[in-house]
Amino acid sequence: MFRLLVLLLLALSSVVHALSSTGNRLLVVTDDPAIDKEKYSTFWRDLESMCTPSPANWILVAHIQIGRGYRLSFESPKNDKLALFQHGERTVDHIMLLPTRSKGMLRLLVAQTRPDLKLKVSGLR
Amino acid sequence: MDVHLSPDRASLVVDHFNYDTISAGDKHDVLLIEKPSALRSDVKNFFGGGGLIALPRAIAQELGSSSQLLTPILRAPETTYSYNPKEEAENVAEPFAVGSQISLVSSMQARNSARFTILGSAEALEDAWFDRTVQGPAGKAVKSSNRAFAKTLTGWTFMETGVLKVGKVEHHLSTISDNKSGNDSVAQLGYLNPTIYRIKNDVVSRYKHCCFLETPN
Repeated sequence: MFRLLVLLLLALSSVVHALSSTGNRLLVVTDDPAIDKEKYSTFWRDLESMCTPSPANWILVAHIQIGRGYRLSFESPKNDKLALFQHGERTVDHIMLLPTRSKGMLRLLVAQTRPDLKLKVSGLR
Repeated sequence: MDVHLSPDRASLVVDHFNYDTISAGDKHDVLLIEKPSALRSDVKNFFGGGGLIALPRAIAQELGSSSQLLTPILRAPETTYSYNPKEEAENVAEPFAVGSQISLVSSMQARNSARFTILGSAEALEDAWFDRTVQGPAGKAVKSSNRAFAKTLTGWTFMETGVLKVGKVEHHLSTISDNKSGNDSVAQLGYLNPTIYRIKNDVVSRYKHCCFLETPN
């Protein structure tokens, strides 16, 4: 009975909370989200939820998943509808840029952070 | 930001003494580097631990010295150089960067605490390299510790580790101190964190940082 209570308490206290001190939304910008999800699948899995069982928390492992708890979203740099800020607040807390072939990356970042500038991108390979 | 990449887009980092004999026996473009040690003796090392990191086809970054906020996390060993595989010349007259000038992983922390990291080899994060057996020319076959390094690197960049957290803030008038008796001592009720001060009050404040976050293991 007591064990059940303890487990219940632990379940409530482990709302999936990222370890990061600034938030758990991670945006990954990549040319090919489908391919890169496969290529780096272990890496994404480690970020989204990582459970390192140790003697101290074997009881937690059995019932609750503690995670690094990031919520990943994948976007292509050509996506015009991507908005990093909405109503003055951030929509994502972290950004990861994977190598892309398109020139859209620079345009995307500038458009998001300095919407007053109109940029013409040329000469990049 | 003072990070320079090689002017020709096809340059890779090559090392004839620290390469992976299993996958890059002829091209020598997969580097095997030990996890970095602390940059200075008084600075904590977040990226340490044993093991070799395998960096396939990495790009060399050269860091300028104008900013104190920019540091290399992983520097290449002395025998490394940046090389364009499309160039046919036997001897490279002036390589872009050489030796420990080359920074393979660099990071910068801006004044608003935002962190920015450049990892020279995206392939090092691939599934194939997370658990691969690698062998240096002089060593024995070991598993690459890319996964652990990715964990510490993302831990640093996404503000998990190395973050000061403010625990408790206390402030009060400086005329109130510990060892005075009477109305000016800390025994006075309600002296702590008052909601209002007057102009020309002398205030003493204390911040207690509760913890310097480290990734739990």
